[in-house]
Amino acid sequence: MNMIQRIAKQNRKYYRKRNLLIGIAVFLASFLIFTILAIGVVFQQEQYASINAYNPNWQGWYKNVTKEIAGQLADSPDTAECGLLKQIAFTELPDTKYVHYYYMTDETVDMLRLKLAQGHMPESENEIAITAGAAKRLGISVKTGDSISLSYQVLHGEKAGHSQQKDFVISGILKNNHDLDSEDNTILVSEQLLETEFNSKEISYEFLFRISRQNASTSTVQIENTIYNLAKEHQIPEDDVSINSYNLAANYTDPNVFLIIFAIICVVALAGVITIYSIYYVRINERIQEFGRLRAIGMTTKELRRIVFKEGIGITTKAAPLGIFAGIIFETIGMLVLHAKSWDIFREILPWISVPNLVISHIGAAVLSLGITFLMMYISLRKPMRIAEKITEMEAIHYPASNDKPKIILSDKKLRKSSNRIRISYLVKNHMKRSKVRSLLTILSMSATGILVMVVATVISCTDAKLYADDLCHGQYMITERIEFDNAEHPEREWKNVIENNPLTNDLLQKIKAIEGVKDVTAFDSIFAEIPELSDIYEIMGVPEENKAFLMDRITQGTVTYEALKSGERVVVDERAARWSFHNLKVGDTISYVVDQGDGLPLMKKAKVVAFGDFPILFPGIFTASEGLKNLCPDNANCHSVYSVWGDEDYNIETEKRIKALIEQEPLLSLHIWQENYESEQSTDRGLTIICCIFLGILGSICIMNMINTMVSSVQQRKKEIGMLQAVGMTDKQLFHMLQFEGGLYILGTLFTIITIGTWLSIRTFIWAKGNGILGIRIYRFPLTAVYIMAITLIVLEILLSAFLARSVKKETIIDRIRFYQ
Amino acid sequence: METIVKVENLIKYYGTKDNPVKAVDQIDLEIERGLFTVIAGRSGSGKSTLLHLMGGLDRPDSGKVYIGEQDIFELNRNELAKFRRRKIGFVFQDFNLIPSLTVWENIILPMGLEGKNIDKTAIEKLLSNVGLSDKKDMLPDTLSGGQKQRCAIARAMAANPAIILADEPTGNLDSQTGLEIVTLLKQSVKNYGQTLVMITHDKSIARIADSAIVIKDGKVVGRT
Repeated sequence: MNMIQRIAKQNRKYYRKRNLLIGIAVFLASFLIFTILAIGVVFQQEQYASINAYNPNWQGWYKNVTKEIAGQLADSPDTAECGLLKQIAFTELPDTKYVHYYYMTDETVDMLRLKLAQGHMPESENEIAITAGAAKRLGISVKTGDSISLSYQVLHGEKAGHSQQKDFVISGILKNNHDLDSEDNTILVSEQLLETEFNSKEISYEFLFRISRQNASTSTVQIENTIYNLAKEHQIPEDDVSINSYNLAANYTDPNVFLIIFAIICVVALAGVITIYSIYYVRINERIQEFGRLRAIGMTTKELRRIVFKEGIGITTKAAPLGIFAGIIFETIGMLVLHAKSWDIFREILPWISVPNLVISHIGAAVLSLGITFLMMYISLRKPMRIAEKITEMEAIHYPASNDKPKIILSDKKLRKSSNRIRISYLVKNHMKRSKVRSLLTILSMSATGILVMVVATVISCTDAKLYADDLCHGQYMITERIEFDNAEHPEREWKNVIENNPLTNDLLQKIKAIEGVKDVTAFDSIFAEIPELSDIYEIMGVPEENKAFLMDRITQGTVTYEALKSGERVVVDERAARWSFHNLKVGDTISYVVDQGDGLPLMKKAKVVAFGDFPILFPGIFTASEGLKNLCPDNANCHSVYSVWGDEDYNIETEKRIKALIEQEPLLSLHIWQENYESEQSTDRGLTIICCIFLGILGSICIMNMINTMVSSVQQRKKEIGMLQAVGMTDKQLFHMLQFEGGLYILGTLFTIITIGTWLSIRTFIWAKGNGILGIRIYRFPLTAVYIMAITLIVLEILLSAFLARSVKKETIIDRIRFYQ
Repeated sequence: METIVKVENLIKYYGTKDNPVKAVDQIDLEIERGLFTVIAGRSGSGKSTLLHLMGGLDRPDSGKVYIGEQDIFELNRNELAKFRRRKIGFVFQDFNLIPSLTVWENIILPMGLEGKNIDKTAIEKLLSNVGLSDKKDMLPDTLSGGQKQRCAIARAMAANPAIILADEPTGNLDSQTGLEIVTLLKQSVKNYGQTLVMITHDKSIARIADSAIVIKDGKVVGRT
């Protein structure tokens, strides 16, 4: 061992208490980095294994492709496997359930992961192959060779024809994968039937394919580009292209995943760097004399740099592997706990998980974590190394008392008005002013994690399960109508027919109101109009005056009174619909629409968009006053479209049963229950919160090391000063108050920075998330609980630290402390 | 004359349990009020330890120290701290000024800790006596060594303590400045009727003292 290594080793031992803080910070950082990488790898591999085990493996899907184009596509060198699919019909079953009839080529069957369990694929016109799920839905038990009579509606584009009956022979039984078998409602028909039902010229197929020329280094982006380029070459519009992103993600490299992992790791590393840098920065300033002495006895600047470097790297060499080891244990226990409930599923996907790949990726994660941790340490050490190499020999013999001449040139900055009242607070204030760079650095580094906590906590608090449930169900129970267009078998679902015989009657409303536990019922009206610009039929909702707050309170941009909306010439548009459906519609624009009032004379109308609002997702995108729709709702028709039922409590099973009983005879009505949506989202939120809390808790611990270091080194560095204060009469109680006050200022500064910068950043994040529809975020909620938790944690920590430091100071006599630097 | 400091059978060990070093070895002595007493001796003789014990900055292994009628080691830590700020003033070799406080604030610090209102006129007079009237709003970093020590002397005297303990106050000063400081100290304590106990190994300073105690190997070996 050379002299540099020996000095570095001895220094590590000598400053072991301080090095312990750095060691803990390194341990936590490496633990967190490894855990993020390893859990990310395991989850991803499990997810990919289950995708490869169960999910369809097509990569591109083109809609509306003629047989000729399909042939050209099949001949393209970019296409490997390909197949055709055509939905020809459906059978509607009770409870809004369907069985679908498809023609598929063998390749399509294979890519959709359907397997023939028995028999053969349908060949003649009256043959079908059926899945167990479809048979179950139809309420029949089947075996090959059985005859079955089925009633179905043929689909011509989006138009459903009249129901027709046909006898079929079951040629085969299809099997889907484990998860979806019972849910699959597919019936396969022969090409002959397809040709009987459709004129061969009008048949447009769906073309499913996998691309060729893939290798291990092919990225998802490259495959997506190939799929889009191929579509472009054959004049297939982008809207008719689908990408199987699950399959691509499971088998190819997605640069976005790496970007997210990289961003998280950067945050962890940044917290680590700030903490370690801050600890070293403080420490190196305490050791100027020590390094000065080494310079005086002949050590070069390069050797001084190496001492600082080796001290830091020595700590990392011990702490980082420990952190990774702890990460492995944490990951193993975590995985066992997570899979305890779903062990059978885990066993089934196990063959799809490549164990060598898993081992290699874990080794990779460990090596990468080590690399990142060492890099983090190196970055933290750069400035302290520069400080160490600049220390001169004179620093060793420099002693404040030895200077007879003024040390610093007199300037106005060194003059300040003296106070006649010296209190503890005054001493602390002056001390912090004097070491303002360090104080600021500490406050900023402690705030960094807090700001991150604020941003994440804002996201969590904004993804409130209640808001999500409110988005999907307005009222504790919501009754909506089933309106369809161009379904020949169910003309009663056409809007113009629904309003003639609307089941949402005033009588029903009164009956619902009379149910015990129902507080109120709000009725909304709607008309359906064709919007030529969108080539689509769109719902325009009318809000009754007694519920005008629903409309007015949600306006986010523009101004309008409810009275002004009554004319029907002004509308409020949902801001997300404006962006997504209407392609950047603006307040002040005009929407044209055509209403078919059933008299065969379509009515052309125009409405000015006077405001944007934030409305529940389940509602349509255009709103106005109910009165404004009156002229558009035909005479004697009932345009009620939604009943929102408000209960005395969030959920009552008896109330639900009674509402169900009232509407069960009405096939056009559907019941939505707020509680169901709430519970589903609550479970998702809980998982998200736990993961975020663990992550932020560990990250917070890294930064707490910084606070401990600052306060400990503040006392260490001022041992002599504190000793002197005690020599001139400062009591232990006054010392404790001084330390507490000092820590309190750090806490106040930190909380102030967290709350100001954190709030600003979290509002920006909220606006971005809301604008992009992330996690269903819609309403901003200040994360008060997180702020309380942070404030309480910091205050408790500060009190404990002050008490600990005051006690530790007492262990030494005053004279020992005064002698500290002598 | 009246005794201001009485030391009885004072013993203080340093070092480890296995290898203890007796820094103060059964010292008995008395110091009279109003005099300038010098404690002299070679490095490591135990003179600083004795002074620190007399000021209650360190605790003895056995023995008693009386300041006036009070056995200072009978007081608890807080009582001792308060006693110190009222009755004892310290001057150290390396000044020990608080760097974040101005000259004025350093001087009134003991009174500030006591929560007392200060007598501005008296402090201004004290500042004038030590020659720092024009430096009152300056920070210690900007002063020369001699000026720092003058500030430390003013701080020690500001609360008008009964006794001033000075631990080699000239150790970091050149001989001319050192002599000026000692003269100032002697004159000041005389003016304010205080007792000065000073450690020094400078014979010229020892010569101007009223009394001298010589320490060797932790024992009093001479007294004049």
